Amino acid sequence: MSARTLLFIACLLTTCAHAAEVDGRSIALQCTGCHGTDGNSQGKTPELIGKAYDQLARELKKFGAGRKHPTMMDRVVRSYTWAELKAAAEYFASLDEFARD
Amino acid sequence: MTDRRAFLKWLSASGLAACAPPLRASSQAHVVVAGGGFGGATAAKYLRKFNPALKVTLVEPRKELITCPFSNWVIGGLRNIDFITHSYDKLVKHWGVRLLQDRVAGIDAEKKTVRLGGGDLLRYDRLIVSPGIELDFDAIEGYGAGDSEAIPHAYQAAGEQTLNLRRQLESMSDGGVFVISVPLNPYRCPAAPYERASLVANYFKRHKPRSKVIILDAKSRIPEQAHFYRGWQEFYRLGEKDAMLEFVPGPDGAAVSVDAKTRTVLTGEWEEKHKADVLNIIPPNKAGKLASSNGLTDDSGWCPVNPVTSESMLIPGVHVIGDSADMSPLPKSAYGANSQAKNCALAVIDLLQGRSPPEFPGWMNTCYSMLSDHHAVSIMRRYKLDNGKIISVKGGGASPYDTDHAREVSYAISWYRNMIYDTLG
Ligand SMILES: Cc1cc2nc3c(=O)[nH]c(=O)nc-3n(C[C@H](O)[C@H](O)[C@H](O)COP(=O)(O)OP(=O)(O)OC[C@H]3O[C@@H](n4cnc5c(N)ncnc54)[C@H](O)[C@@H]3O)c2cc1C
Ligand code: HEC
Repeated sequence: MSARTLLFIACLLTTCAHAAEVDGRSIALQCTGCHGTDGNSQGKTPELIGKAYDQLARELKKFGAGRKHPTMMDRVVRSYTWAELKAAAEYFASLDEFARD
Repeated sequence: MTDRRAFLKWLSASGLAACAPPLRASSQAHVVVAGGGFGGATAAKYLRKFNPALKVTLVEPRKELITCPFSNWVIGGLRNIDFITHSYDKLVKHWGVRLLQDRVAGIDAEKKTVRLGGGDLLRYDRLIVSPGIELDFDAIEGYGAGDSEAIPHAYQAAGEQTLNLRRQLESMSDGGVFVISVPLNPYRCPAAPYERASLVANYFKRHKPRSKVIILDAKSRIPEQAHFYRGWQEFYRLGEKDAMLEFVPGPDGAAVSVDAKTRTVLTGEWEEKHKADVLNIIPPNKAGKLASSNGLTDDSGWCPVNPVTSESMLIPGVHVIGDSADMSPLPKSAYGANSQAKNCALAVIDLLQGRSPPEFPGWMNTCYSMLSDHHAVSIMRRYKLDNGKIISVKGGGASPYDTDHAREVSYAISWYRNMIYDTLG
């Protein structure tokens, strides 16, 4: 693959949101005051970095369906569309590539 | 490392992770940020995080950030001042922000320069201003800036004022009265005065059980009202004969004048007298002086801005974020300032590179309030643009009654740690 193609793919995979409907990064930035920059939590709030997209999506769906007893996340999830949460989860899932080595 | 990992690492290291086109001249642009509180520090960090080629200078006169969030914990004796004191080191060392310990004395938007307190001029391509609030010392007769030593407000910069109020509460004898006066909206952190009253009552309950808290309010409705009333009844016997906490809502509770010598407040039309042993007056708020003295405010006393970019409606090239900006109904809070700052940083990066911005996400606000040392309540709301107006999104609100409020205390502490990390580290 040429560097150009790789760049293109990397953009699709990560943060090239300008073409997309929802900008996962700017949605995700609304979560990081509570979850820490890049989801790298410094406290009891769970980390979002280093988790696969499927796992994040599963947790978010559970909050939305009222199947957990959260203190906060049911309200958070109800304030977004699924497309927005999906894009944010994809963004967090894309970050561990950079941070974990 | 796989090839893809190596490549992505290279991408991020070279600042191309956000798919920026190869560096252009404009990416050497200089952004000056005035004020290193929650708005300014977050903006400086995120400008560098998402465009490391940008030169970012933060001008802040204070050596350390002592935060208003959690200052009520210090006033209530639950934490000491070190807990809310933070260095700017990581902004400089990790994020490469240039920090000038100075204040911005003037803005020349035509020449795109700011003048520092020391006299030096700084040229900017974009200026971000986040000076917080100024207190209106003309609003309550008898309470001027000169009285804040004897009668602290503890509502602008945390630090000396916070410790002053704490010392007064500690030296007050059991059986004393703490009076707190709360202004009309809008002011920073709508729930903070009630949290403060609760934590002072909590301190009295544990250490000076014959003492009393009186809240004098200019308003009749308060945020998270049902939660506060319930907590005050349950913990401090609100409404009972031997109540430890009394609430006088507006208009009867509105402070009209203060006699500083006797620590007496007169309220409402009938000028009812309330004598305090420790008195805490919170005057009405307005935009920071840096904003008002440089033509960034309108008649309301706040700064009108384009909500998407935070650029001033009055002075092009200057962005105003944080408490000074008129973003109503988004509350003036640390979380709100941090949320605005990140949107603003992304908008400034796009503007400097002549790119069109992606879909606008709106803002998030969250806030934890302590009703006692083991009971916290949270509020969370998202805000969006609707035909150019800011509206709150359905779904948010205060925690339900049956939430585990003790667990919310530990999430409040985690909230604070992560807010500091997202702002400074
Ligand atoms: C008691 C209390 C409790 C609070 N609790 C919470 C809470 O729990 N959660 C929450 O979300 N919010 C809380 N807040 C609100 C929060 O503190 C503010 O909303 C937030 O600090 C706003 O950020 P800002 O950047 O606008 O202003 P600030 O954080 O006040 O920062 C302004 C900075 O600008 C600097 N400055 C001023 N003039 C100049 C100049 N001329 N040149 C350079 N620098 C200058 C100042 O030194 C200061 O550091 C609380 C507030 C109070 C008073
Ligand atoms: C006000 C603070 C706050 C905000 C804002 C917030 N969260 Fe959370 N999050 C929490 C807390 C607290 C928990 C623990 C569960 C609970 O009590 O709600 C949590 C849990 C989670 C979990 C479960 C993780 C796990 O492994 O258990 C996910 C996923 C999550 N949040 C994603 C998000 C996303 C995505 C956003 C932004 C759209 C977000 N959060 C915004 C506070 C917050």
